[in-house]
Amino acid sequence: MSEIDRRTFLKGTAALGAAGASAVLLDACGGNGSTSPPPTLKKNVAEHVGVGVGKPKLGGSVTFGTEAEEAGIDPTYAHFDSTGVLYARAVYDPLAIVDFNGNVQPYLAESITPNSDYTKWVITLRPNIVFHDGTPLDQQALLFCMREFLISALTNFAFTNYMDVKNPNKAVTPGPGPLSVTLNMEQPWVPFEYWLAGYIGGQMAYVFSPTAYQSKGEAYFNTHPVGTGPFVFQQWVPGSHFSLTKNRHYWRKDRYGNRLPYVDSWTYKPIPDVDTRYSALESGEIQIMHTDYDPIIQQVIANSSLASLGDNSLSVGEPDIDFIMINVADKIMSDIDLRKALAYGTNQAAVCRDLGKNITTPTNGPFPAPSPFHSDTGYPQYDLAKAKSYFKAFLSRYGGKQPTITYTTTNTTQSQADASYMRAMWQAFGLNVQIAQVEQSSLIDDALQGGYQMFSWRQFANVNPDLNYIFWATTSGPINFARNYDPIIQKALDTARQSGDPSVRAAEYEKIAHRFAVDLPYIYTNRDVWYIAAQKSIQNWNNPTTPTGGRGLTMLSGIIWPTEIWVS
Amino acid sequence: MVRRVVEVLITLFLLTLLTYFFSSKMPGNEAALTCGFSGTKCLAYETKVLYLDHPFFARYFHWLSNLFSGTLGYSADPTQPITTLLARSYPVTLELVILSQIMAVVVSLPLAMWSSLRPNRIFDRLSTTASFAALSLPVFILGPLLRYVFTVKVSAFPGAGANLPSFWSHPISNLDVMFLPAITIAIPSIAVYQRLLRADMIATLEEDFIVMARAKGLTTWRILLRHALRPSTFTLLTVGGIQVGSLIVGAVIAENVFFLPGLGYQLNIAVAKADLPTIQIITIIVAVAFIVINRLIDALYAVIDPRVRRARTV
Repeated sequence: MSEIDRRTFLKGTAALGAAGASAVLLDACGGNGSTSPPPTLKKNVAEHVGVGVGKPKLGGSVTFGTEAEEAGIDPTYAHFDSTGVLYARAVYDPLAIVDFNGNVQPYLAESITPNSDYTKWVITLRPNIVFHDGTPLDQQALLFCMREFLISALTNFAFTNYMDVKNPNKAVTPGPGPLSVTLNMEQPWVPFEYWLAGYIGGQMAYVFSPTAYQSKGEAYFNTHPVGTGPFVFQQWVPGSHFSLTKNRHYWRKDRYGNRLPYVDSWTYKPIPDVDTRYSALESGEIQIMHTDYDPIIQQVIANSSLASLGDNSLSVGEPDIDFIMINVADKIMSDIDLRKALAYGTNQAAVCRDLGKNITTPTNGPFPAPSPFHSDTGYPQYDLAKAKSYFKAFLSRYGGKQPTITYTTTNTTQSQADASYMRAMWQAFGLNVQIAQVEQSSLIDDALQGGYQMFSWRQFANVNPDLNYIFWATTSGPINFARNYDPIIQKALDTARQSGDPSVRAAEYEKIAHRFAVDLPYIYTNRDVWYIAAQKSIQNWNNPTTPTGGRGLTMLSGIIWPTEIWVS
Repeated sequence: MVRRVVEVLITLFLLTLLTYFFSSKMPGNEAALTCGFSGTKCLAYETKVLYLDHPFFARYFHWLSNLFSGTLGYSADPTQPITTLLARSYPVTLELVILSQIMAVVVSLPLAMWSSLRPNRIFDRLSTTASFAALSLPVFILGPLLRYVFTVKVSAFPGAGANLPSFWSHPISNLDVMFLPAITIAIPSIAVYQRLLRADMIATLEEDFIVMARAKGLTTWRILLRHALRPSTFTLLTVGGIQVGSLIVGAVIAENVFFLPGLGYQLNIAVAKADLPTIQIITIIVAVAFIVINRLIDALYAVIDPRVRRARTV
């Protein structure tokens, strides 16, 4: 089931992390990559797709069709999903980037360096960079941004337990260099650098202009962002387009000496209806799009006039997972027998065949094979008899009469069809659900506020599972959307975060996946696959580079970089 | 006249009351929408500002006074003034509806006249068949079909998501983008108008004054245009007024199929977000348009038919 909503909202930033050999600290030195090797590495099966051929051309314009619209673009306030990260990568720069092998490399930062026990992280900025409003990117700007992230009602949860969010002046301090700030942790945080790469959940990676932020208020800034990114914000007509023009003073150059970005203007068009989005691509109104809706992916693959690639050919990391998210704090949904009935009564093979068109595959947890964290989690396998039995036990507590249960999904015809399919599947063991549809950004708001019972959801893609900490921790409050506050999971999350030993990390994440199979806050349907489809004139959309010229991580969760794309 | 104005005012009052009542029964509230994740302080403030802690009628009259003073409030996610949203989207829908109706009239009129002139002959049968086919094709099928054929298979028109320039600055480009969405809505209207006008004209052509006109040696087209058309348009006008509702539904679908940021598209988003202020305002606008157009059509009866005019003055 794809295209089911899921805005993975704060989902993990990218990259993997953790330290191979524990504590061998690569002291500072900008540009020398992460402090530990990535645990996940598999061969990219289509490395050439989306890699530009020949010398880049300057000029032109590109329009990217996105699956949803954003509720804002202020990284301290708006919750970025895949589309949000796309918007952010155009107007802001993240402090770090994940390379093709899954290591973190400095990006807007010149260096990102931990101390020996990972309780202090020093971020040093590159010199001579200015925001789009002409103000300098300096120590004061970074201090301001990091402190705002710490106190933000949204992003503070990412730091909970590890930084003093109530005392930002103590948690983030200037120095030691003139362009440096130090983040003071309360406990070791080994893979912290991955949070600075700006994937879903890692919004604190995006540095914004304090002057612009303060001059007209946060609400204004939320729709008129100012960063240092490759494109300068021009206009945002919500629901229609988010348009930007080339930042002619951008700090990055390519290997030929061209100042990046290549194209003169860049536009995002949110087209939630995937048929319309694909039609717009075919007719040339947009030149590139993303989707995880499998019937359209089938068409994309068969369309020889387009270039396309899915994140099932990822070089590192774990993909998004499609699942039914249960609000276990809801009185009815807190019944484990009901959740067991749902787990046993959800036929993943049928979902993958009928909705996933055999592009997607079943999964038993958030770490599908060949993830190094993959294991036999003990997640219930499809068994209709068991589903009926558990459902009967659930009903007995309601006098044999099922209470109303609402299953919420996004407001597209595709989501409606998928939800109807799931409802029919569950009717086989006796469960009847009401289907409700809401806009994708509202879905996240509802998840935050806990006013739901069952959501069709998509989440957990990352290069480092630590980025899912906030979604699984007992201390994350509403960011743990499922409200599954399991102390065993919390302990495992902390142990994994504080360890540099890959075997310890693997064991802890296996433990977490196993606990999910016991708690059942997530009823898995399949491993999700995202595709990018582009007209062949759009070059280099899957070939980002680090500032030092190395290859960056390719598309994950439908997210690419606009900086080095050109039009042939 | 005064009676009619009073009628309209009462209708509008009931309309706003019902709109506010039903939208207030929707889940969520404006304060939560406005505040998002900003916390309880914001919620408390917005609740006070929006009168959400007052009884229903106090809230309603507060909302109504804001409506009359042009303080329409803000839509949510991202927060933007509803006036800005309307200023952007209303012209798109208005143009779409007007254009579709021009297309419908321009096509249906000659078809109906020719059919009525020679009923049950080959042309009439063909046009009747085509009309039924058009009527049986819902807009949500027709739109994607036209989009696929004319923007993907044959690049005759700009596709979904094309930039829509202003009609006043770039009329040709504007009409180029608008053509397919407009014809999508127009096709069912063409069928309806053609069927109605044909039937009325066949009846009119049986009237004595038409026989008299023929006897005077007037040409066929002169008889059709000068003598038969006007008295045959009553039903057409009535249905045209009632059609406004269908047109709005058609606009919602066409704007979504062709990704045109008009009122219908915005309404679709607002409903999905439970964006109550936007839903309320768009509902009011559509309903007011419906009432005003139907009242105008009432007035037109008198212009078209002197008998109605005389009857009203008696």
